[in-house]
Amino acid sequence: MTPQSPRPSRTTRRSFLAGAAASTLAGHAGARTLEDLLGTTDPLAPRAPHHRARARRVIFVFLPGGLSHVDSFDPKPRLVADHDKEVDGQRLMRPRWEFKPRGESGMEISELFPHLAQRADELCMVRSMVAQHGNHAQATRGMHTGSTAVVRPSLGAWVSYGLGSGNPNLPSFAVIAPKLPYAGEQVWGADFLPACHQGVRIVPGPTPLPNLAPRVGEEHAARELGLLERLNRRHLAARASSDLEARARSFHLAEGMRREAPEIFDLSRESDATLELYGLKRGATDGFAWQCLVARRLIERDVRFVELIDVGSSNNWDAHGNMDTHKKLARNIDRPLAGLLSDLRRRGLLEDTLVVCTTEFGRSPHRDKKNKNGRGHHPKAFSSWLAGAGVRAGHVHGATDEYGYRPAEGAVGIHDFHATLLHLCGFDHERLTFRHAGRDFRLTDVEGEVVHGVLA
Amino acid sequence: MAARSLSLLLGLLPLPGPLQEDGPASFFETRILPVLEERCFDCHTRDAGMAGDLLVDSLAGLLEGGERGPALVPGDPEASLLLRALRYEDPDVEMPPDEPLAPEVVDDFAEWIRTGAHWAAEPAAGDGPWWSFEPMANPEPPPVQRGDLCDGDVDRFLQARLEAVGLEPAPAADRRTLLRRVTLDLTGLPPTAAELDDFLADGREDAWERVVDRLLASPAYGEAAARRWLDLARYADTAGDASDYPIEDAWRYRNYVIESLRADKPYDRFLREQVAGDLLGGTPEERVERTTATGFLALARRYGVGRDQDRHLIVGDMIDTVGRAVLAETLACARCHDHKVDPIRTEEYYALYGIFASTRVPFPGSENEKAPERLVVLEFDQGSPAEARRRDELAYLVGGFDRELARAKAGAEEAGAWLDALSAAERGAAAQLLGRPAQASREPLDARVAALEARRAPIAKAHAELDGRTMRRERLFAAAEGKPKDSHVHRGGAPGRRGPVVPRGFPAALTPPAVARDVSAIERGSGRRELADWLVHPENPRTARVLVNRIWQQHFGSGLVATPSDFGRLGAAPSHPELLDWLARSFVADGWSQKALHRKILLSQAYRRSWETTAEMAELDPENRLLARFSPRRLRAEELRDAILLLADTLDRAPGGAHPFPPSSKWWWTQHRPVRADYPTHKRSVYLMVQRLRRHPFLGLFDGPDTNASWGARGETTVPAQALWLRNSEWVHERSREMARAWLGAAPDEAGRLDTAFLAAYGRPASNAEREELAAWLESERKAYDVEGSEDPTLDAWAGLARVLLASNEFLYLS
Repeated sequence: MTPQSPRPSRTTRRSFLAGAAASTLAGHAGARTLEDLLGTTDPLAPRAPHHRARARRVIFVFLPGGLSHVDSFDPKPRLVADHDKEVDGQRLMRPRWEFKPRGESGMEISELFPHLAQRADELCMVRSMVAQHGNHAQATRGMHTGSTAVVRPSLGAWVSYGLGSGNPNLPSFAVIAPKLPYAGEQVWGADFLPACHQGVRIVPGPTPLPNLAPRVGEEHAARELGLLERLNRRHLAARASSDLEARARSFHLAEGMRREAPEIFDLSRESDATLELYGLKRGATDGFAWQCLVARRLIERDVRFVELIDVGSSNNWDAHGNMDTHKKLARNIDRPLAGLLSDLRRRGLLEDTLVVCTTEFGRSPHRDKKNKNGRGHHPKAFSSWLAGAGVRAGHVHGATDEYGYRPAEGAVGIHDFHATLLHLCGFDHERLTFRHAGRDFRLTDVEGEVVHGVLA
Repeated sequence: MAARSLSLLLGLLPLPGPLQEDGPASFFETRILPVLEERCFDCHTRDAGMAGDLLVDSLAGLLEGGERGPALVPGDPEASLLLRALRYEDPDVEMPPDEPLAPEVVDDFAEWIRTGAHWAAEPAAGDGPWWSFEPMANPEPPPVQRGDLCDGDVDRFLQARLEAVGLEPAPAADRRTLLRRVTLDLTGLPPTAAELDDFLADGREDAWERVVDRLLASPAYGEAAARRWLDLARYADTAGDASDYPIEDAWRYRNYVIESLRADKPYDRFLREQVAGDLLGGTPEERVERTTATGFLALARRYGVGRDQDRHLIVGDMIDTVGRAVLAETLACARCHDHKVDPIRTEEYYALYGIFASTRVPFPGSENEKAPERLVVLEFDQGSPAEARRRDELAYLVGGFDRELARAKAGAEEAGAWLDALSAAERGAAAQLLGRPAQASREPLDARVAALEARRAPIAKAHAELDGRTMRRERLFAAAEGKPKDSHVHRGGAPGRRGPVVPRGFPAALTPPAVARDVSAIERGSGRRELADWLVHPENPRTARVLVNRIWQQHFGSGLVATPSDFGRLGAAPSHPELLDWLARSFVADGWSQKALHRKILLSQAYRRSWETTAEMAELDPENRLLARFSPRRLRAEELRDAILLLADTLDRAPGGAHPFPPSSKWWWTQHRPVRADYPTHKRSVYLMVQRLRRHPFLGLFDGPDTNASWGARGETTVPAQALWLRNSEWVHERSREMARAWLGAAPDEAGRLDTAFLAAYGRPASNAEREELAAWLESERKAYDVEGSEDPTLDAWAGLARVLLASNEFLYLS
């Protein structure tokens, strides 16, 4: 694709003329013209897709710390049979949870996720994931940006850059996270992409977005805005500048956001049946069920990429000490995730929404070095699943060896994974590029092959 | 992915664009070369020992072949020995010997040979010369028709171009606009009402010149100028490792930059100090200052959880920073392969690599080893010779006591342990045996320890006192010389895949003959001294050009070269090449003085134009590259925050020092609980603590600095979150009340108060119409607040006005 200017907001001749026209019109009429104008220069405008694709939005669930694949999504009967056996100086450990075939597909999922297991026929399980690094921060950064060490734009920022904004009142990339993950905000940063593509964090709780509520009464806020508009209009009257128009306009957009955002978080009109589906108590303003329901409400409003992070960089899936800690973490997300899939399906949203669930790496099939009940980091193999738009449902892609140490077939590296997700959104990962520091960067570096096996 | 798994695991820098196009080069780079590197280079390279005399790391090597003759016949796979070996067709040559390549990979080789065995890894310089590798010209200012539109040579260069396209430039902006523009540009703060009065009242011919000189001499200039350099130096107060450990002493580098720019330290010296200041000697003060300067290198980003993890990336960060900030060259593109478009070869990247890898930088601490290490400590003896002698004597005595005490303590411990192990009966027997019953206790030994300690104490105290008085020690997060060593090439950017060793040196394309003649070869030390000579040589084709372009960008919004940190072929060509070279030449001739350069630019008519845009300008030069008018810009994040604090009369103008990090002995952070600190202050924004793993919430919202890489131009985004912050954030509300209080107290009547507010926010008094409108607005707000039972309706109403002014374009933009 054509290289993008690092400052797409720079005035072009066309935008100048449009801006000049806009500036002579007052208030809202001018704003509409401005929207047309922004269509040519707005960094949030969508890129032309490279091929037809179903996914218009993405929900990306990230489980920090390293979910154990051999206890959840990757059944290993030999691991049960050879429990406690020493292999290469390591003592194997059987999974804590029993695997069973589920649904019509017969996909095996363990009792760790009983609710999700009932949605097995919606899932496309990838059992042959390979991480780039064995340490949390690097692997987390890798899963999100394709780069373990050097800071790069996040997957969500790339999708936002590609798909553009679907709703000017809301950010195109939202991250619902109670705590910061490993590598902090770099996980949802835009780096060299225009800053409007960076993830906006929604913090579960009474004030999910900062500065939304006016600190003065509504009437005062309205009168302040009225005065601001008059001052700005006069200031622009004699001049023309798309930058200044856009700035003046941003206060309207903020008003839109201020109006629309509280609606997102107001769950009072959700039926009891829906709340029940997610396992959400009426009136709750946090918890993973709240996150999932808010995610649905965000994508209903055409937010392009919603990331859900269940826990932070501590007290997470990093079960070195005892695998039993997985139980509580799984219980926290199991029903909400299953509920989210059901809810999306019954509303028809799963048709054009891609749902992804992953972690930064797997856990060792053997016992942790220091703790006999835990498992260590295992970047060489782990499982992730996809569901929804364009995904081959009820399918298992790839497999690990008899104990779950390494992919035995269909290995999927992080760049392959990213290439596939972009493909599902309509983009050729080699052509979704951005010119920066003298060259065209892309999410997948110089690697990545689309995993065709997971496509419907 | 198997063949490329190594580079995937190492998270290498990506290759640039052209590779991604289909074609023989791409086929070779993606399908053939990685296989050769992974499976063949271990034996078939000159370094590895050239098994069978065959070299497969170049096309020539394959064509020449080994002991069995040529390995390759381009265009004819079946005649190529290479393919026979890969197919295991000949039992004598089965390659690779351990196991054959996958059939589809062998097919790739067949295809590659069939299509001519295109070997792409030749030096990939683009076609023809490119301006920024050429020597600077010595242009003369061109003749112009309208001398009245020119106040100096800068104007002449610009005017000639305007005349060529037939554009009439905008008239000069009014004095208020100009003062706000230049004051923000040079100091990062808006002008005060008194400064406005002075300038408006100054009828002298050189009033403008006086303003520029006053601002350049102001302390605030150093702070504003430093912030721009700190963007380039990817300055941060934390290291960027997985836990983002603090760099406690980073602030000393920051303040060094402020002081240096304030003092107009010549740019060549400024650079020399930052690259090699520790090698320059000088008085104690100079040595501290110059060593502090090397924080420029030492502040490189860190990675992972352990000591010096991914060292090649730390070194790579230094190269990238020097490359982008000083030379505007994307050297990092040559890390894995030859630069795709600029004439920088991989060997040349590793020639530079050797210099930085031979440089020692401190370890800031990390999850695994929490305490910082290898900080540079400079010691200076400031005592008289007699004091020094006395200090040495006392140190000798203290050392003697320490040795004796260690022995005595060990003896007491040993005896104690022995006695503890004895039963009562045995102890009695031992006392009998020794004939000295009292000796069966460790008490006498403990008493000796106590006595020694008592004798040592006053001597140690005297030593500490004298030492503290006469010795000066400075702890610095700075660079030092390491073990000088040439680096080997990292094939494909992977440090483990050793290519040839390259002597330390400089890229040929950026080393014209005059520089080559004057910069000596690196024979002793890391080579940083020579690096500094090379960078600041007046004939270096980049250094001066890059800097003058950055200063131009500061004043006009965009540089003469629109890509300030990339002067390579993928960057932009200059809009006014002669002006750029003329400025660069005169910059060097003026002793590399940045202030003289500012002056030269700011005294031009071009800088003083209004931003009024005619249809002609919009038609002929929509992007304003020819500068017929002024391009407005939004206040930078720091300018915005500082201006708000100034208006609220709560800006703390004192310089900032160290941040209140906990003492390093108590550091405990892990990647699970990384450093996340916020140290609120009312000092200028350049003194805010900025992290690498976490953006400062306010600076991040307004396109503030990216602290992870050298950054030459900030974004200027407009998003609703900024609007919400300006209208609803607690911080703005607090400041708006402070402003209201200040303005209400500034004048007895409403008109006077409004003028105060407008002068502060906009640099102009309110117009009559505005006074009328605002008086009515304030009155209705006051009434509404009163009805609501507000404690201070007037203050509330004025705070509302303050917020409106802060959110308005006339405040947020510099025009």
